[in-house]
Amino acid sequence: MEHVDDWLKTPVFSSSLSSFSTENSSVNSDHTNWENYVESDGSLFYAEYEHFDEKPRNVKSKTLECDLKSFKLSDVTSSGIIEVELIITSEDRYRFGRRSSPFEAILGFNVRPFSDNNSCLMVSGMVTNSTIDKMNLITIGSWFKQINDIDIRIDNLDDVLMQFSTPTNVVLKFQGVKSTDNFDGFNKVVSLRHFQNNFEDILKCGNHSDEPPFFFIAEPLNSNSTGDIFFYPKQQLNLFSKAKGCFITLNSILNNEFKSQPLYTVIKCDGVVYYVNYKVMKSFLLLLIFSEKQCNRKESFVRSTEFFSFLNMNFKDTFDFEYLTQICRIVTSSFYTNLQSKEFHDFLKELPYLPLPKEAQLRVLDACSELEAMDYRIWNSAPLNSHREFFIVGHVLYQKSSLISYNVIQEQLHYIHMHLKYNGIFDFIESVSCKMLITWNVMPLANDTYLTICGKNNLLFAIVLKSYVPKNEVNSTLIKPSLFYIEEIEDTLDHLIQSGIGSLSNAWVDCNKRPEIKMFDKKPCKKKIVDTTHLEKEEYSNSDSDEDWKDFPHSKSNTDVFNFKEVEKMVPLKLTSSKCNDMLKYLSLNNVKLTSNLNSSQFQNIADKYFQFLHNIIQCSRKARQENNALSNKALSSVKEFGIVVKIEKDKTVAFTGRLFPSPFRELYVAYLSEHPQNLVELEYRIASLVAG
Amino acid sequence: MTSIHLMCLTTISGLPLFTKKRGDCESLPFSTVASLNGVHMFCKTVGMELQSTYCEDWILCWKDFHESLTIVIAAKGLTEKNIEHVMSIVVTSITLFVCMEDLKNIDTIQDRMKKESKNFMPMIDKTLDILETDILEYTDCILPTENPQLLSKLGDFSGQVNSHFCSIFINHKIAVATEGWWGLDSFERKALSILFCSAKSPLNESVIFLPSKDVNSAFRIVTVPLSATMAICAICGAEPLLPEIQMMVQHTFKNDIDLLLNAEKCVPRNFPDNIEFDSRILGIILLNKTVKKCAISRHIQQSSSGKRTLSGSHRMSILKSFFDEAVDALDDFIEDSKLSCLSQYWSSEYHKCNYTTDGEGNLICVLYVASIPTYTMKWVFFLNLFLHFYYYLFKFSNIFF
Repeated sequence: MEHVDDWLKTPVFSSSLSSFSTENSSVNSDHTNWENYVESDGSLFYAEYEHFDEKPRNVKSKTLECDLKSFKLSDVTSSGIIEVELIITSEDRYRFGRRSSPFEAILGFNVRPFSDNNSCLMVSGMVTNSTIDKMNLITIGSWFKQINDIDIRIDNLDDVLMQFSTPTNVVLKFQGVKSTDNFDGFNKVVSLRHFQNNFEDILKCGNHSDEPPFFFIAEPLNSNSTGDIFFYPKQQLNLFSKAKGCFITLNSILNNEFKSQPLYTVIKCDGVVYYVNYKVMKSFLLLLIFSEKQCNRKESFVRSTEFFSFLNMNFKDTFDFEYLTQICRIVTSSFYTNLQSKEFHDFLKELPYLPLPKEAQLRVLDACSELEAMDYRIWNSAPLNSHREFFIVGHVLYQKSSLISYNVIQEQLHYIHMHLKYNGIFDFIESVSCKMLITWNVMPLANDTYLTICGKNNLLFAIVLKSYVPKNEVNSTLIKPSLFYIEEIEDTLDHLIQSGIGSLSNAWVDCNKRPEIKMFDKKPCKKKIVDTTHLEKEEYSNSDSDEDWKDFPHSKSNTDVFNFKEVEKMVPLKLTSSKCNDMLKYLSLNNVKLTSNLNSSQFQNIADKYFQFLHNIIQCSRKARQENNALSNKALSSVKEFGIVVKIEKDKTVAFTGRLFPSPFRELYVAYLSEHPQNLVELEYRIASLVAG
Repeated sequence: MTSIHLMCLTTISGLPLFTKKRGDCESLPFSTVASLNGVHMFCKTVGMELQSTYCEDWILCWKDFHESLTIVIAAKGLTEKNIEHVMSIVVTSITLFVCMEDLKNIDTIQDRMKKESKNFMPMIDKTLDILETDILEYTDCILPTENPQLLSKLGDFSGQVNSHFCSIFINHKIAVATEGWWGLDSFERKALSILFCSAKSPLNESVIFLPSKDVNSAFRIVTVPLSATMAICAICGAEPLLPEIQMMVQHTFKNDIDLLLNAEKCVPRNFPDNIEFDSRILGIILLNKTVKKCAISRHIQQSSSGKRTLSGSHRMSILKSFFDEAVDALDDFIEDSKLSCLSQYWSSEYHKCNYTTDGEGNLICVLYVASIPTYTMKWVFFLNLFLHFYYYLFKFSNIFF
């Protein structure tokens, strides 16, 4: 990432900023595209993507990221001349931010040299809604010949543009290409509403069942008007629309007579058991109903609690039924998208955490620290004084839906996770090839706090910003997305991607190295490549030492990229203390969940079930201790360890063990071959050290 | 602390038959009882069956029995399974005295119900009293060393009375019983035990129904005391008469006073004297899941040193929690018959529990002092208990398990 000072010293029209002068020219040229799509309330949702299985399509795209090399000057010399009149001024240079190229800011389109003639320029892209774009006269690949009869070449373009310091009417001359229809491009989403309305199409997921995966009813507690009741699916299709009165009565009796808030009701309909989860919120009784086919009662309760907490954070005084419908549709689509990977940890309230290798963690933290440490006020003193100022409160980095790094408080982390999950952003990033995602919205948790999310490939980078000047002091003007900050965040994310964090994260999930887990089913792990001779030598080495990292990219080489192959060379870390590796699965719950990331298998599913059973008991004890409130069942309040030995196959018995560690509260679940007992305290210590890399 | 509201209503008309409560809770007003029944009835009209509702600390359950009785229970400190067992025992207690035919027309037999309630109401009260210490689904047994001789005597008595359903109780727990007795429905057996416990006099004679055996025929249950804490019980027809049965009892046991006295010494340990337990063991539950019977001991040590930190009832409550929450709940949760759980343990600040099974329906839950290390607990269990019990089970396999 370039330093601010360096940037300040750079001449405004230097070639380093020319879009065609760098490898990443096209990326830079797209920095500004989203600015036209800022909503009236200041929020932004902009995404460009393509489907993984999508072949290049014939579209007329205004933001091209494709191979423009196919355009040749020789193809256009025989075409007709197109003249366009335009008013331009060099003062527009920064209207799209400092990274935008001068011609896209001033002229409204991008240029680059032809592949067969380096001095002549062709139109390589249009700025959406720019004057010239609206004229719809110029096609991509046209030769940009003249401004006011001055021939334009690569070496004089910046100088020519600089002449127009005041608004001037100019005539641009182009020579058009024969065909404009052979470009492949990206699909574009320009608003959250657009994203939500077209969620199923974007993700290419349809409903696979006649029955929805859940039913949702929001009924006002103080009204009898049926028009005020929200149903999802709609009333005619909602199995529980007729029975809702029963739940309102129960809610009232339990609150008044038993002084206890109902959590869920078990009800049977047509031989199928349903779990009706309750929540009173904003004078509404919310009922979220799952069938036993989808999840068990504990899972249904955890899901509902999470959903209700998302609604609580996103709706201020009352519910916007239209938005509720969108959320419900997204959750439905999301359910069908993730049906195959339904696992126990999907129903834990803790967020999934993926601790990368120490080097990678440091890299991420360095980049984020640099971003956070920048004092943007210096920029704004001169020569740019047009922007508000923010503090960067913290960052959260995700690889798909797994946390890689975060430094925000738990409440904000929770909000960001819910925001990404229930707005379908996790599903989006997992289901499509995301070229760019930028969102900006107010964070409802605190005043003057904003959340911006930048996504590329499989990484999501969320930044919490706090307005430097309190909103009321800015005369309540709308605070819109800050170009400067978003550019910096994008750059940081680009930097992380270029460092290989994204590919490393992907590899890390599958590599089964840190720590290594024994395969119960004896099927080789997808990407497990272990050099056994190397392993034997290193078997008794201290896991905390830096020995293991000697093969890691940076230690010896100067390259700045984590290489996937390097991961395969790494020495696996063995957690168990017996001679052979007996660990079959682990799950550690703190504020986040840390688990052995292995692909779903029959044993993994069995282990999930047992872990969930252990967790149900240990959670009771944890809750009683945290709230310092003895349960009516005193024996449960003091449980700190719980183990089950199960015969899985003829000669294989597995111990599933869970333990609660106090101060800070931490739960550890381990599955191992029962003939080799494991010391859970030691395992916890070792697993906890993983978090630090 | 367990609290419970029990409401029994007629299914069709919703007429309350009785309500009961135990623990630290206020009586529910009639309107609340009616509303709780109302929501259940309402759900039925829209084709749904309301089963249970979980609150922060209460669990409410609804269930219809024999299309005539609706039981609603709200409880604190019990599992849903416990509540279902209470419901089954309550209904079985009623059906012991009211035949199924009458029950179908329950709205027309209010006076009869009122009269019979004198019989079943003490049983329901007793059921609510033992919630915290009893494993409701299982018949509570006692295992004196004298059981083989007692069983032989019971066999003689059974022949004389011409009854397949005979048993000997010691301290309200079954020491031995005939095969016919063990063949009764588990809740009927439990209700009969509770009937015996709640009887005012040890010499008793009542007319009962056993729907699991014969829906319409009435039986006669007769209990005759053998000693201060022992009694013999037989379920038979109209013959023989009570004085004749008393004569038969005297005849059968006239030479066995010592046997009876020795068997009584098993109280309160409930386990044979010749089994010595590790001093770190505080309580034991021995169960057979097939026949649904159990033996519980919370006074396992022969000579009490007085240093134990946990009281008898507290020990039982911990063991029961372990059984309810961990042992009994696992099979329902996993729902995979191919996976067999061999053992479980939990350790807390104040105690440790362990459970193991032989895979054939027999299982043992043990409560240890907290100071025993987890790995030692496993070995103490195997060396001390499992060997003992296997010896014992082998020796008395035809009697108890």
